[in-house]
Amino acid sequence: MSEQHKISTIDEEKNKVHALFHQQSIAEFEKQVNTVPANYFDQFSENIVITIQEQKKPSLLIRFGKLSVAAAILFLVIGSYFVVSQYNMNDVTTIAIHEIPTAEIDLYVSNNEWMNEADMEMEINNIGLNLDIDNSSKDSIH
Amino acid sequence: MQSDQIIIKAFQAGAEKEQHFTELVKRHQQKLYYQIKRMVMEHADADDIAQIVWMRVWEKLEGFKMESEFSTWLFRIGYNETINFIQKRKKLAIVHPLESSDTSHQEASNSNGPKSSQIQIKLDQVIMQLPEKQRFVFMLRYFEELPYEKIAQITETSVGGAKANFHQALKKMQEMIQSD
Repeated sequence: MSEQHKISTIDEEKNKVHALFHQQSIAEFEKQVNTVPANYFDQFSENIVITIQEQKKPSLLIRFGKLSVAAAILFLVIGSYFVVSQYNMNDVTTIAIHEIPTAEIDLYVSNNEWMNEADMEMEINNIGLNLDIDNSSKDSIH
Repeated sequence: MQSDQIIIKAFQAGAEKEQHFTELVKRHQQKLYYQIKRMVMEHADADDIAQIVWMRVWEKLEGFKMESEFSTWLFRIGYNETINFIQKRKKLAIVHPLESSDTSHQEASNSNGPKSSQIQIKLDQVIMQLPEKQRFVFMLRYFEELPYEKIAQITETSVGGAKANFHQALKKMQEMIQSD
């Protein structure tokens, strides 16, 4: 009974529509709707799958994106190393020797006299000079 | 022929997804397309919307729980995307071709007589002037002969709401015709 009721309800509703519009005009409307390009539905499913497959592939931008990010980081690291190095070098100030006060030089030399002696000894050894004092060779007064 | 549920389960299992998806498309593409085209009338627009709908289906089919029929779920996505499309168009204020072709239809001679062509124009005009939801419900009920329970699921409304939408659509069409 309820199925029959449902069907009759649809029929009743359609009859109300038919009272407003001619069957012919409704048919023409449907014809307009149903007019599609030839082979449209045959190709539609293939086209959708192709679109899906294309979306699966990462785009050229994304493919190289990771590489470019890595390259950018490397560039930043190397670049900052050079910048920092340059900064440190620039931090060192150079000064001419005549600009150094004499007192400061004297102080440096006196504090580092052993360095002078060490350098001297190295030079002496290099040229084979023996300056050791030998008491036995001296003429005795006796 | 395998039921939609079997195909969907096979899809969700992960093997040959594209093949199973293609099968679903082939089964349901025409009905979906025609329903969309009744709403927008232009093939290019209907094609665009249909493609969007099927892309959404591809994205979401993995999580489809089969609590409703696949066709119901599909039409629901179709309904949402069609409404979105129409509302975007409204915002862009693009004039619908049918509205501008009104005069040309009236001037053209028709072997069936002017009365028939005027009614034809009226049908298009009247349907396109309905609010989108009423239009969609009217189409589903009149042309697809879907029960109100299914229409309610598709449009995410109650059965009573779906019935009200249809009868209001009918009432509006009557008023529009009588006003001319």
